[in-house]
Amino acid sequence: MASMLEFRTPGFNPYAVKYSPYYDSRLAVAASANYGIVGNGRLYCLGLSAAGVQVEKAFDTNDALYDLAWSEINENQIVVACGDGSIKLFDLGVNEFPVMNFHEHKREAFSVCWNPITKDTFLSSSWDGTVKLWSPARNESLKTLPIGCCTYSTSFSPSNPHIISAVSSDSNIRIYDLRTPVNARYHLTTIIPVHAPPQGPGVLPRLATGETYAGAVPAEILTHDWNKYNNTVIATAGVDRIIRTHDIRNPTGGPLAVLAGHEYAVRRVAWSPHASDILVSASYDMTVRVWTDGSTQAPPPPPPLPPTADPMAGPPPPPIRTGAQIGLMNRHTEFATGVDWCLFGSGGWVASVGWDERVLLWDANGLLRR
Amino acid sequence: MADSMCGPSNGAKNLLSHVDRDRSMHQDRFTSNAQASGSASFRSNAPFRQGAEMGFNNFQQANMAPEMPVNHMLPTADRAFTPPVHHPAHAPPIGGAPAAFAQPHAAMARPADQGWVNEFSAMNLGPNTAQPQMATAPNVHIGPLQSPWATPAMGLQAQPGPLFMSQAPAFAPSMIGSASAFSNPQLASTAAQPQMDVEAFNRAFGDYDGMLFEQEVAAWKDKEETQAAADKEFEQAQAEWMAKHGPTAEAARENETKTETQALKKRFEDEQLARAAVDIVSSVSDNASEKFQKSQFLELMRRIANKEVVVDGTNFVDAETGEGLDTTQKETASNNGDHQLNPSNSTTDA
Repeated sequence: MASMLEFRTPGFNPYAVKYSPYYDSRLAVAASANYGIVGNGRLYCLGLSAAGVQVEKAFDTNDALYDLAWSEINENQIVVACGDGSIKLFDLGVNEFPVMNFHEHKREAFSVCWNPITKDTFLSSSWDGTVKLWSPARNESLKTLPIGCCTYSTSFSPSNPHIISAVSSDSNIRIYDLRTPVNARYHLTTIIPVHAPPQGPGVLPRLATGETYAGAVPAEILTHDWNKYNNTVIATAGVDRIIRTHDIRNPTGGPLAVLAGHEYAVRRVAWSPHASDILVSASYDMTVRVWTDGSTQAPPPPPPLPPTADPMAGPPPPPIRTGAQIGLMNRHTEFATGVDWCLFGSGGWVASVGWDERVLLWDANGLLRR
Repeated sequence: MADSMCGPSNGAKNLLSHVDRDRSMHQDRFTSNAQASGSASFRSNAPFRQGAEMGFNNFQQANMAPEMPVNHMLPTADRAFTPPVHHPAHAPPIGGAPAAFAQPHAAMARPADQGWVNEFSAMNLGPNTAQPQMATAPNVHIGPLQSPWATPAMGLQAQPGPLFMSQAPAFAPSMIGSASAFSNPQLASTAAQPQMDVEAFNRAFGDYDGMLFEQEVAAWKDKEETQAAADKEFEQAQAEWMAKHGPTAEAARENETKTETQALKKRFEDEQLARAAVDIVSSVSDNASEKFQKSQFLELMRRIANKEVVVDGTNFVDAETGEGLDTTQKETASNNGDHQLNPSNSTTDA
């Protein structure tokens, strides 16, 4: 394996890692004592130097930290999602205490996401079943989007500042468009049932492997990410170990691709900022895997029709791609919880964290099968 | 705006909407009253009052044009309402009116006893002031009114209006009556006031200033002191009682129960954690890989599931010894990196 940098977070089990959108040598880690079950949290801001990875700044919090997001508008600011439901904004120029504290969530806050386009708002999601939209300058949330069940992850569309996505324990992706009027649906425009079989006339589609795809048992979705190149494609993953990609324009059409391989629940997925078909995933099976969703390859040949098929039923639906695992990073010795791509450099640097109290920085290109 | 339109419903919101609705109903009522139009307005006082005022003005001017004022003041709706049946009853304008119009003015509705009225009106007005204005007034001044108003009433009898006309004057005198009744004694007293003996007044105050004032202050002080002493005693007694029975004593008692409930809650949380740990351990029990066997987190979960480890405050402690548990990952995990690398390589190659 190629070179790998390591940083230890003794006494704290990391939950999330994010590269700075401003500096290629800076990243932040949200960590919690006692695996986030009880105790404090700590936010690390790490810098890469000739001497290795070093702490630039650390902030302690009273409660566990589950996620973080860099401010897109201020290179020194980070928001974190806390176990007590609060969202805290830290400034690297200010010691010890957060510069803002946003406390409206009634239960654990699980994810935060900064608006990458307008850069003036950020999102948080929580176990209390809501997604909240915030301005860093206001203590009260701008909007509350009701989900109704534990929402593990929320995100802005990378190409449209008004479009918000959220995934939750009820196995749905919800898409909100803030330009729609606030009616009974609260900006909700689309619900994608991730585990449902494709709807529509005709036979069920087949996987590229030839098996019929008939959906799956609904399971909690823990993470999702928008493709950085195809702005209608979202990847989701969760308890059922399988990563799926969906097109939000066809909510009932079933997945575009199905990526199977993890042995336990998938904790986080991240699309590559450098290639439209590459994503990385961190899982409770203690591995981090790199995948291609197969969208850049030639579509698989349609599987032969079964002899019983009705020739008048029209062409069978196109097969669902199965993607391919192109690399596996197995260095973590506890659950791998966080992973992120570096925006800079040769295009392949990945940071991953796990409950083994380690932050590992490695080049995914070294993993790729050639 | 959004919040008032939709969103999770709650009690406060419902209450708010009720209040809103109620208020609008009030407004409706007020507006219909004020406009005094529409079929419902015959119940209201407004036309009567207007008519009364106009009538009163005319009465004061003494020489009134009978055709002019009242009939075009009356709202058409009122006129339309008046049933023709009543007309004959109105030949004597006062007598007929009350019977026909019982509701609007209960006082007027009392059939006027002309004999009594006349007798009464012959008396001086003074004693009447004590009586309710409405009851007395219409009757009292019927006599003087009868002459100027009888004519228009009779003249208008072809129209349905006269009923109101007869009412209007009946009401008008009530004002006159009350005004005069009140004003007389009042005027008398205010006129007398300035004539009081100023000197005697001053003298009385002078005496008071000199002597009585000090006496009174002393007496007041004495009284205050005894009162203060009594207050103090009462406060002490109260404090004693409160210490025994008051909220602080209750709080102390509550604290005991609180610690009990906290202990219960903690036991419940421990139970929950243990159950979650059992779930986690059982879900990976079939995994024989070296990493999972060596996982410190899973080891911790096993110990929690066996109730060997419990949460204490913000730490894990040994359930037996109560010693804090070091959950920090052992360095060995990363030191044998080569060992860790091997499975990853083999998996990658696979």
